[in-house]
Amino acid sequence: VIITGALVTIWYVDINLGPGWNQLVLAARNLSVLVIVVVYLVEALRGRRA
Amino acid sequence: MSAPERAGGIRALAASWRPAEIGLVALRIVVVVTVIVGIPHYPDSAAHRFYDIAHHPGVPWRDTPVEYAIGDYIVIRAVGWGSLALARILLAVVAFTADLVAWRAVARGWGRDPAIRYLWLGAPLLIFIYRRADLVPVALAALALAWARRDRERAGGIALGVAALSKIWPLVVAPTLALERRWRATWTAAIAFGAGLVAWIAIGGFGALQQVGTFRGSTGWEIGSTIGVPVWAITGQHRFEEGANRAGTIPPGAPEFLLALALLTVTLIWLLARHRDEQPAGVPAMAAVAALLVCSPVFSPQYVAWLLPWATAAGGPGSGPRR
Repeated sequence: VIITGALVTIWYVDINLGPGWNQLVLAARNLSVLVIVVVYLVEALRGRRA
Repeated sequence: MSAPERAGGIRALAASWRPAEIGLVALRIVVVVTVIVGIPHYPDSAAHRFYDIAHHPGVPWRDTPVEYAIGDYIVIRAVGWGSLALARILLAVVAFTADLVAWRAVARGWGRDPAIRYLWLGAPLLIFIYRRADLVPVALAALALAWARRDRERAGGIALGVAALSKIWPLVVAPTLALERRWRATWTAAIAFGAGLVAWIAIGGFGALQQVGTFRGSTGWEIGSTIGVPVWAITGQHRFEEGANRAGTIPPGAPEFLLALALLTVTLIWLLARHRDEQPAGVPAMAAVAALLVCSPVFSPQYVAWLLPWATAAGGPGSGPRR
């Protein structure tokens, strides 16, 4: 949420991040969403085995 | 009610609020007024599209392609019937109202601390979220689960069914009702969704589902999606197609594979959640929505708002083991 808010703010105020930075920030945002899923599954599976 | 009585009521209400609540709601009022007054430089793509759809003659989905489901279409008609300027104002009012409804729903369902977390967590999105309609299904879904927890199961089921007729994601939080053994709410949601789906297909035909599912038949990865970002980075190119910036070409079979992966992951999350002592509307619901986002060929910035109620409920107490 914070990454998205920051990125859209940057877009709205027309700050040019430079080549590759938009993709990097979006990748970080997507990775953080993926981490939610992976951490939940790993923790839940570990809890099942314990 | 007389003016002094009204003023007394407002004072009493404000006195019961914490400083963070007053500040964060005041921030939202400033933002919605800013959007209503209008900053022409800021992009209002949703208002433009809503205005276009609402003014297009003929039956939606049949006579003209529409990428929104019937629940969203009702909001679009409510917002876009007048001028473009009015569409922007009404959209801001609808989104602001939905934001406050979601906040109160979280307070009612999971307590005051999660509700304050909702206000904090949503704050970074305020710069653009009142220019989109995504908070409407967020509010409906939060209201649905909160009502079900408060034994208003029929109302909760209807709200969830209506939310799922706007966007597909509320369906992945629906198992919360089953885990909390709110069977009446579960069946009501299923019936409401099914009835709405039949009505939608009767109006728009089966092509309506395809138009919404493929975003009017677009062929590229949206540049913010999990696959779209690396495709954009590697190719270095993107284009504006069917209302979004897209890169590359989605190969045949990829949407079906991603849908199957999403279904598998969401199912696994809920199967595992059955045996855990945690709030079903918290971490499991957030993980289920996150799985859908990860597997989607479109990940527009406003989609992160779908996570808000579940992320805020995640810190709450568990509801006991369900073994």
